[in-house]
Amino acid sequence: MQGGLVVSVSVAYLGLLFAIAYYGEKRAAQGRSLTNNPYIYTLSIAVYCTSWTFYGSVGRAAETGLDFLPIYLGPTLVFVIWSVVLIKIIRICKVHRITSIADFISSRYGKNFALGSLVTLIAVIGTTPYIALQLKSIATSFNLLVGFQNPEIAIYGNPFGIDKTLVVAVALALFAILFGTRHIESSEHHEGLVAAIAFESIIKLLAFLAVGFYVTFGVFGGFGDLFHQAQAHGLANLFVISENNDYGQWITLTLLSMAAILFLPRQFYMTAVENRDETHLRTAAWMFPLYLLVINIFVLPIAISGKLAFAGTASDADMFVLTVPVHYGQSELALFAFVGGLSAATSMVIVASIALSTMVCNNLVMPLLLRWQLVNLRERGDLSKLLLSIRRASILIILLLGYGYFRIASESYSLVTIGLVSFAAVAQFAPAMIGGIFWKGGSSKGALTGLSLGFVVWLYTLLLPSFAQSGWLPLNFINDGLFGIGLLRPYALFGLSGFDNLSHALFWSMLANIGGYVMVSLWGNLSPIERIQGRRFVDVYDDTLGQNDPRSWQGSVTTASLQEVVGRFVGSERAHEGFRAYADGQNIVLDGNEIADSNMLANAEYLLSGAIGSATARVIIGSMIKRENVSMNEVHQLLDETTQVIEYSRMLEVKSAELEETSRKLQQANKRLKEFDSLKDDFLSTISHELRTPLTSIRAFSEILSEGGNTTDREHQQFLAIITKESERLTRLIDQILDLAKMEAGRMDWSMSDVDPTSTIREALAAVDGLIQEQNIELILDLYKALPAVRADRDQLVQVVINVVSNAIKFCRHPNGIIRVSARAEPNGLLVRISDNGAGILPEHRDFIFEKFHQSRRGSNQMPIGTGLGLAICRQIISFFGGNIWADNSDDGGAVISFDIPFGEDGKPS
Amino acid sequence: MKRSGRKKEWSIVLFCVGILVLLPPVLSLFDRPDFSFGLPRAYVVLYGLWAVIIAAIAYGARRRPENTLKTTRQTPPSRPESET
Repeated sequence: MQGGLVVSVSVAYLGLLFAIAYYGEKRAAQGRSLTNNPYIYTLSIAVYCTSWTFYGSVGRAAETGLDFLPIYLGPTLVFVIWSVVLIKIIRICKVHRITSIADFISSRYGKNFALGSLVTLIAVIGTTPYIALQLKSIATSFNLLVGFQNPEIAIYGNPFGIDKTLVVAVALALFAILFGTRHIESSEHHEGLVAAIAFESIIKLLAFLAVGFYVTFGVFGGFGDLFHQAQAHGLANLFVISENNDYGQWITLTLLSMAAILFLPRQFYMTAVENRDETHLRTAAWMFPLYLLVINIFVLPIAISGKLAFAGTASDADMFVLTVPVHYGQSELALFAFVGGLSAATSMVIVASIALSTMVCNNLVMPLLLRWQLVNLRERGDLSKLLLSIRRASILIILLLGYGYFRIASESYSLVTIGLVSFAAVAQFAPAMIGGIFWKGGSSKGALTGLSLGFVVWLYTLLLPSFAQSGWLPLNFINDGLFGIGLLRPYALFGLSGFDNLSHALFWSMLANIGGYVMVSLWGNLSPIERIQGRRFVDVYDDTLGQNDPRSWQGSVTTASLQEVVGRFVGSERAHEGFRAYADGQNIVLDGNEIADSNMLANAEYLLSGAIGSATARVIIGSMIKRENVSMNEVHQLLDETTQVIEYSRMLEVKSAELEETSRKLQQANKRLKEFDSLKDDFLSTISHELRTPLTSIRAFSEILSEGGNTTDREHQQFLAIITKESERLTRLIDQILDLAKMEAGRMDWSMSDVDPTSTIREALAAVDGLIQEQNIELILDLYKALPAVRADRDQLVQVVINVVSNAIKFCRHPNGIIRVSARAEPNGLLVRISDNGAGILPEHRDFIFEKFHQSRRGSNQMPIGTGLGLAICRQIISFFGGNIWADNSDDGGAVISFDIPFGEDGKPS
Repeated sequence: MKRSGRKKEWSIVLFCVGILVLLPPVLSLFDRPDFSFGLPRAYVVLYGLWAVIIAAIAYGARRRPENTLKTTRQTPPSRPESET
């Protein structure tokens, strides 16, 4: 194929990417975002699939079968727990305006500068082999496609007079610079970039699927045919993960890829920093693993077809995706595959270099410049230009580093092996990150120790040996160990052997890393800012932006100068907008001369964080404030004291409320006691009076009789009759008092049963019949025959009727008295009404006639007629039966006493 | 976004199941050069399990209607008063 054609297709493709990015930014500026949906978000995360996936997986599968898969199963497992880990990281990034993983770790451990720069260093060095991998794949695929039919310009030939890989590296650097560093965004959302990366993800998927379909269904007769032919040609060893059940590397790769999907700088950037909406993750959680699954279906078929097509020749298995279509004469398909590979490589290089350059600028260079006072904040000048220059230079340096590693090491390694070196470096972030979001106790010293130790072990057991194998270090470094010490052999550290190099390196580096992190964290004390940041990261869901912010700045800087400094980093228009939005939110008007309060300073720091990272932002705001600001220690102490005081006062409040409640209850109880006391006094005085009246007459008449004297026989008889009558009255009174006392005390023996009301009422009337006859009173009975049974004590019910009727006898008209007794069934129970034709009851007495010792008198100077206890007893009995008793007057003026009693269990009215 | 504890439990259980079936020793059960359904067994089982896990993530990540949460929080009806 013509080299010119391939070059022009590549340039056209990159031009298209740029157009998409430009369009995406334009749309975003108009407020019609292209990228603010879960599908674009998912595709942008698919930047995970690089040349490694596109070319390297096939190469790996062609050699060792299915063991390329953990690189994709690990991320799937991480996305299973998206709601535990990913969403928390994203939330923290949003709340704290995190711009990179270095920013994240440095912010978590107290905005620590040393930690941020160490993470940046590890990320840059760790990503270098990965970028080299992409450069290698582009260069190799280009050479293959151009040189396949022209063997004279063989691989690594030099048709342009210079190394093509260097050209590729510089071209990609320029491309990344154009893409990601045109201006400083205080929001750190690159809409155009995300749109372009999503497009690249579609292209690489389609290209790979096209080759897969062609191979499986064009060259072979489907999956079944392909696999059976492979078996026939002795390739059955590719059908398994491991032929001898050795899964050490499988486990290592799964763990590494789990760390990679979270902590690779470009993954972190795309997943967390560029996330527009947390709910997008809900879709990406299953769609991204699905993308991985789909792009991996044809890896094994392409690998097998390559093995079959190039059996016996020394062909680079990493390039099967390209060479198989060429082999079968499909040059257009091969060109498409080349574009797919190009998209896979460019997406990785662009995002990684932009993410890394942000880290280098914000966490390494700017803090140093500020510390060495090379940048004077008091001077005028647009610092955003400086920031952009730093980032652009970093991108170029990062790509040149990648090129350097490519020159040194990559010729002797396969793509996957190079990539795994990077994965192992990135895995060093795992303890500090995972510990950082779930464990408040992690300290910056611990993180620093763990990261350093892990990084050094990684360097010693993976990176340096790869240099040695390429001849850049003496080879006996690997065989004999450092300084010839056998225990220090990098592939068998301290004599540990029997593992593959990767598992060996992962074991030692993680041991050192986790051990260092945990031990040092537990050893020392946390500084106040570490404690505060730890709480704000671990409890991020409780923490809403702008509240609970303990980073109290105080100072004497005016808002105008604050806005000016922020403007120098993020651009004056953006700064103006940010300050205006803040003022609107607080409902204040800024004239620029007021002293910025702590909220305003925090807002400025927040705006700066988006552009230059939290650690640098803090340094800048700190240096702005002339007056010595409140130290974190003081703030913390203040917070502690305040919390204690608040807690104490809350306890006091609770106590005082309890006391109030108790005293109120006591007062009530006292009042009731007093009432009872006066009731008792009343009762005693009444009862003694009641008892004394008959006793007085008994005593008087007895004395008259005992004196003998001149009483006639007739008088004699009369006096004795009075004494007998008064004694009976006394007995009755005492009986009633005893009954009432028993009832009130609840010691009455009740024998409750279903009672027939008709017969009961008749029995009671029979008992007072003599009295009725004697007084010549007319009794009218109005009883239904078939009344349902009521639930009552029969004897007590008889007593009630007797009492009420006796009452009626006393108060009815004399002569011509009429008493009417009626009983009928009502929905609530049996209703009994006993009326007389007397004078009736005065309305003001109706409530009192059921009280004890209430006695109605016909006139003020008359003797009382009753004992005053009959109706009180009736009320006690009826209440016990569950009914009511009340008094009113009939139409013709007589008194009516009514009571009702609930029916028995089987006596409900039908 | 409000997140319910149920979702977390679901995803952690699924994670454990995934770890279990995708790592040895369960892995070695189907890692044989045999054929199932006319395809290599390890190939079929691995991609099959993978697809099942993805389906399970999608199931767990689906939006639940608001009221399902509310019904689970309802207090049980108060006991009828005893008859005496």
